[in-house]
Amino acid sequence: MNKSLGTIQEMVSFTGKRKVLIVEDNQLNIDILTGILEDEYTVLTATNGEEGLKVVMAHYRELSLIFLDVYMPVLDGFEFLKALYSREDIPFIPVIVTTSSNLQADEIKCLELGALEFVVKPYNRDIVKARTKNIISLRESVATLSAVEHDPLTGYLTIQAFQHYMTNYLISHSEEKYNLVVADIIGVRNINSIYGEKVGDDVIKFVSTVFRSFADTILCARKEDKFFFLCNGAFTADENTLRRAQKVIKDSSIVPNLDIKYGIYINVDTMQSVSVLCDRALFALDQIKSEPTVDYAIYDETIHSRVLKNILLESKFAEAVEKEEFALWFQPKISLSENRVVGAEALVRWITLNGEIISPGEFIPLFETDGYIQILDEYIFKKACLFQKERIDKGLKTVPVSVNLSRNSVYISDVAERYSRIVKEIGIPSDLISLEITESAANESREVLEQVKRLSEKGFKIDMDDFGTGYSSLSSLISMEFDGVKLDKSIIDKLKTDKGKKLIEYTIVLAHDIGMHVIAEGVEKKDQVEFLKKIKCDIAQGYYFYQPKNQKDFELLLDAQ
Amino acid sequence: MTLSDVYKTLNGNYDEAKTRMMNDSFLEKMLSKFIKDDSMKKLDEELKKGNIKEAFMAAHTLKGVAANFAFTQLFTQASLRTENLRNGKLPENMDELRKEYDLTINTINQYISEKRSEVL
Repeated sequence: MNKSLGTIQEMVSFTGKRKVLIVEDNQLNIDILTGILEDEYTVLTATNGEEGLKVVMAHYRELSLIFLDVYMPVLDGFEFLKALYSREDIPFIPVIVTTSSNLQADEIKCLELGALEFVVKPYNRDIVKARTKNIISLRESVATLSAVEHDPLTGYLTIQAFQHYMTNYLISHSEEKYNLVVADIIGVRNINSIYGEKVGDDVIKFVSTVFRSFADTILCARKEDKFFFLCNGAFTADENTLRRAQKVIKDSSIVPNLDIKYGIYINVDTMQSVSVLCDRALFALDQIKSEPTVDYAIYDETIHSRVLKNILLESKFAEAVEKEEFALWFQPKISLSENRVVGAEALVRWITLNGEIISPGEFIPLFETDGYIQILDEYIFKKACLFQKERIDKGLKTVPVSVNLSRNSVYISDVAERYSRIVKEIGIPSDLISLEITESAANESREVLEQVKRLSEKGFKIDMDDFGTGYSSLSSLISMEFDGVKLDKSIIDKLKTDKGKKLIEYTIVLAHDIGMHVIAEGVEKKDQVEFLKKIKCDIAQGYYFYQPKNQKDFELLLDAQ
Repeated sequence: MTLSDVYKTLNGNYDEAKTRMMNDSFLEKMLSKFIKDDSMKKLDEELKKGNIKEAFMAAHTLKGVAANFAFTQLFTQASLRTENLRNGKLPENMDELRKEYDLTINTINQYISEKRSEVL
């Protein structure tokens, strides 16, 4: 019998008793058996095989065992067994045949049809109870093995089981239309780190309950902080349902500002594999993940073509590295007191061999989501080291070059060791290369703090990048071992106003007081430069001084100094 | 008349029945249901119509019920008819089964009416 098993939670009713079904045409026999069982079990009854099947259909999730009489009107025990064990939509439920027949032929026939045990009328109380107990515990130990079908936290299916059942469902109900919804709880990682994992779990459980009450779904699954729902038409076609669910979640959440985002794939293409369908809903979700005001996205042709383009870019990545299509560019950094180039930020440019320029805005966010950025970061870092090494070997003038370390790379557990090994192997002084880590990444967790500390211990100078964007706070300046802070272009643009001037002035005072140098980014105007000079900002970069330069031009600039 | 007397009259096994039903009061309750059980009536009707298969089922049920009440005589009688019918034959000596059944019903009825008058 290739049948799935329900979970133990489903088998134990709210009264704590397991449910058994007696299928028997004689009321007296039912009463007597019920009398034996009812202390320990909740007893359902049916007076012939047909009724029995109806009860099974309505209760199969909770039924632990069936007692079956053989000779009954309408549908007898043999036919009942045949029907019960041939139906794919009913999970396996063990059957004990109750018989007063002393004919072995009947017993053998029942066993062949899948019955597990016999009890003979007249019933012996102890034998009936013992067999019932044995069979139920045997079944449940098997069910435990298959418990991975369900997520123990929410009772939803696991994603593997979901995809398995979805495949079967779509095959057998291919004529209908279905929608696939993926709901993502935003920031569970933050919830875990702020309130603890228990609260994170509670949030997931809470959200799962809300969805259960709203969504009339065919199948639902949880995978980490995401929920998958397969539903027909009604649920997603109706925006209001989503909005109402969203409202309930926001109103009664145990943590503030709980946010859920949805990726929706309407009228799924049943010719595609289920994992492709799930991916499509996820692609839709990806489009809005970093947009705070958008709650949901629907998978459509635009997303489809963007995804295809991304896949194409990803497929080109390895080749691009191999063919050295990623080039190192330099944005010069100017000392405001000395008015000369004292360093540069290394930037990456992707120029294909046939001359096509792919903008960093296209590939950096993509590689940040798929993890390629880790490879790219290290590649650029190595190139920057090699650049320095070449100039040293040629006896030319050098200035420190800073390289961006994306948040993905910060999370690599041995990043400090890897990067310091590169510096050693290439053989350059460690003060010729420094790192920039974005503030949002820096702000994130203890993990990042640790990594920054370890990089610093390996001798790297580290600047906090993009200060003034996202969740900037002055406290993040003092919480970590940064050597410098880079003021983002958006904060430099605030120099237009008096308040903006004060903000920058005091930030610089604070940074200097705690021993950090300050670099202004995106400096484009003369009055910005003059003000920054006045308030003793150390370094500036931006179009006012130089645009990013390719290696050849940057070297010309250095040589001319 | 006690429950034990009922079983003595019927040549049944009181202890076995009592164990199965846990106690006298449940056994009593079941006995009052037994007199309403229609297996015997069904058996007679189906035999009259000549429906061997249906008659078999009724006899089989009666056999099972008798067994559960530990009415040994009735069980033996019902078993014999059941086997006849199972082999597609009309049962022999149906009167013996009827006689035993009537005795059983009458004895239980007597017990119940005595019990009722005690209460009154």
